[in-house]
Amino acid sequence: MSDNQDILEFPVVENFSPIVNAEIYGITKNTKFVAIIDTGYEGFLQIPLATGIKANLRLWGIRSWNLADNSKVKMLECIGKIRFAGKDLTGIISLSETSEDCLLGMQFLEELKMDFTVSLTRKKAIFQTLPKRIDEEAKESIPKTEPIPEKPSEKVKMPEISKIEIKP
Amino acid sequence: MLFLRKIKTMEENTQANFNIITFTLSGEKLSKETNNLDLVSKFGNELYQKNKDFIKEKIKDNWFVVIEPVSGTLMASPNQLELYEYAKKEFPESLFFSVGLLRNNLLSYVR
Repeated sequence: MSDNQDILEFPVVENFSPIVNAEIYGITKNTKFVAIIDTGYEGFLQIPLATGIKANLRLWGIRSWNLADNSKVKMLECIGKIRFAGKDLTGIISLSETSEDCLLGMQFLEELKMDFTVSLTRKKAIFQTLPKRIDEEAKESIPKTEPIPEKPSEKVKMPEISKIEIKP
Repeated sequence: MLFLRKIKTMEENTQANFNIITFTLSGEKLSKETNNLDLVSKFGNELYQKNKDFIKEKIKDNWFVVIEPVSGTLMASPNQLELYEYAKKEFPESLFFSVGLLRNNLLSYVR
């Protein structure tokens, strides 16, 4: 994988999770990690507490998360920068005491500004930078013209019912 | 009693404007800044729960919300990083209780 590519492909593993590799910039050192793209997770990045300590991130607060099973869990929150697909992205990183997984969520995808597609038939997770959205391109290609004034519609003359002859 | 303390518009660049809204919340507050995250969480969560209805009424959907538990200041913004920078500038010594994204009316997005 080289930096700043327009299309990046990563594997989708057997339990249908798209897996990517990225790097956290800590205050003193960088830490590489492998993460699952989780579109049900609204945050930027969640990593195990131990990984966060290793990365030496800057603490900013605490958050109580509601999980899918309706349970609540507290997580430390840090500010951090990660490198993915040749881009440096900054966001709030949650540190989990209970989970061993690294999750990249919707906030990450929003910051990344790339289209993300999962192909279960090809077992690929695809990140793509589109040069321009097709609808935007189409809009620009339409020459600007004055609107054509509407012609008054010609009314179709219907025969009066009384004048219609019904032949036996 | 709740009141609107400050509304500030921050300009990131010419193309995007982000808003920061702050309120002072009623309720018991932490006596001083602390590194004890259990206390930050306890007081922050209690302030949020006590003022929940008001917050949900005043803050737009999909805005990020944090609470500084010593002053009882709630800060909200649609941009998480702007919110972080603003909060750290206003309260450099504090740790924050993060409410996260407010989502009151998810059903309205489904047609």
